[in-house]
This record gives sequence, C-alpha cells and structure tokens, in this order.
Amino acid sequence: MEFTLAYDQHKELVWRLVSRYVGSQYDREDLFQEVFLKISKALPKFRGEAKIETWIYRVAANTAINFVKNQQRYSLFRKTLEWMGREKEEEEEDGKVLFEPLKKLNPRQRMVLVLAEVEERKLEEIGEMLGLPIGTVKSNLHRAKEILRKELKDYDKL
Amino acid sequence: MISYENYIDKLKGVEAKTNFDQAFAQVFHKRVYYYPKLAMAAALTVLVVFFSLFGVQSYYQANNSSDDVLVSYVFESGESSNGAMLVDYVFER
Repeated sequence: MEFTLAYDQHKELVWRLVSRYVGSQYDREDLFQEVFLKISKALPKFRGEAKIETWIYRVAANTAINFVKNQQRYSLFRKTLEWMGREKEEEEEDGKVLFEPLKKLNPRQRMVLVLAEVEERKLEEIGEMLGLPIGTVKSNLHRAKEILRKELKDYDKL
Repeated sequence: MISYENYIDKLKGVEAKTNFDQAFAQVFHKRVYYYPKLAMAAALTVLVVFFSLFGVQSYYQANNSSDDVLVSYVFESGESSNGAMLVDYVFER
C-alpha cells in the first residue's frame, strides 16, 4: 500500500487514539507525526499478514507508549521547558485536568485502558497490537481500572 | 468527585483538532530532510571528536617527549660517580 493512501485512510483513527492518550495538543501533534514517520518507514515491509488497521494501531500504540516513557525519563528537562513556555501550557488547562488521573497509570496500563474502554477494542486484538498474552492484557486492564477508580474518588477538578 | 464511567465518557468525548495536510507535510519533511541531516550531523560529530582526541594525544606526546631523551654524561678527568662534580653544569630544556 502506498503511504499517501495509508495516511488518508487512517489519519483520523491515529489522531483519535493519540488525542485520547495524551492531553497536550503539542504532544498530540508530535506523537501523531512520529507514528506516521514510523509507518512510512515500515510500510514497504508490511506483508499483509494482519489487517492494515490492526497493524497501524500496533505501530501507533507502541510509539505512544515509548513516547510517554521517554517523557517520563526526561521529565526534569520537560518541566524546565514547560516552565519557560508556561503561558502556552495555561491555555491547555482543560486538557491537563482531564488527563491528570491517567498519568497515575504506567504507559502500558494507560494504553490498555484507552484501547479497551475508550476505543472499545477486544482484549484479543489489544494483545495482538501490543504483543502481549491475553492474561497480561487482562491484568493490566484490571490494575488500571483499580488505580483510576481510586484516583477519581479524591479528584474534584472535573 | 467523578465516577469512573463518567470519566471514560469524557475521554470518549475528547475532540481535538489538527491540520492533517500540515501534519502530512511535516512528516514528509522529517522523512526526506530531517533524518538524513541528523545522521550526517551525527557522523560529523563523531569525526570531529575523533580528530580532537587524536590532536590532544599528539600534543600531549609532543610536550612530554623529554621523558624519552637519553642523557649521557662524560666525566671530566678527576671526576667519578662517587665524588663531587668539578664543574657546575646547567641542563636546559
């Protein structure tokens, strides 16, 4: 499949996933581009063993998980940048409030929760996308729900 | 406090917008220009570091070469290795 066609057919699907996974508009756009950059490189090797949509979800989900892991790794550097551009961050206050509880989950738990509960994907499909056994998907989802419920109990900003 | 179900509904309702044409152009730009340039910059950095280290090492060796100089001393008549020198010698680098 040609990259332009893949982009046109799946841009909204990828954008919807990244919009539900990260809260800042800047991160969403950065992550969205990162996903399609990876797709453009990997597309010639795609053999059609899985559905193209599942394959694109897989690339998007794994890129998003690594994106957040890297953000956590360089959080001090990031906080400094945020402080330098604090006016821009203030504009995104609504997004920050909504996504704050999700930050209590680790990047994989967050992705499993978003795929299962928000995107309403089947657990088997999530396992295939993330390269995880179904048992691991279930335990990640269970733990994510548990943490989120606990977090929301004391959360009064929404 | 907000219930878990309401929170999930709020996440489902997130409607962020982006300019897909602009995003496509940026992906294309990164693919064609940015990454090859990044690779070239990395290669140049490695070369610069390599030659800098080579230069520093050469400079260090050149300035410490006196360690390798063989000094010979010829005794004057009447001198010996046990006695005092008959003439004061000044060795200069």
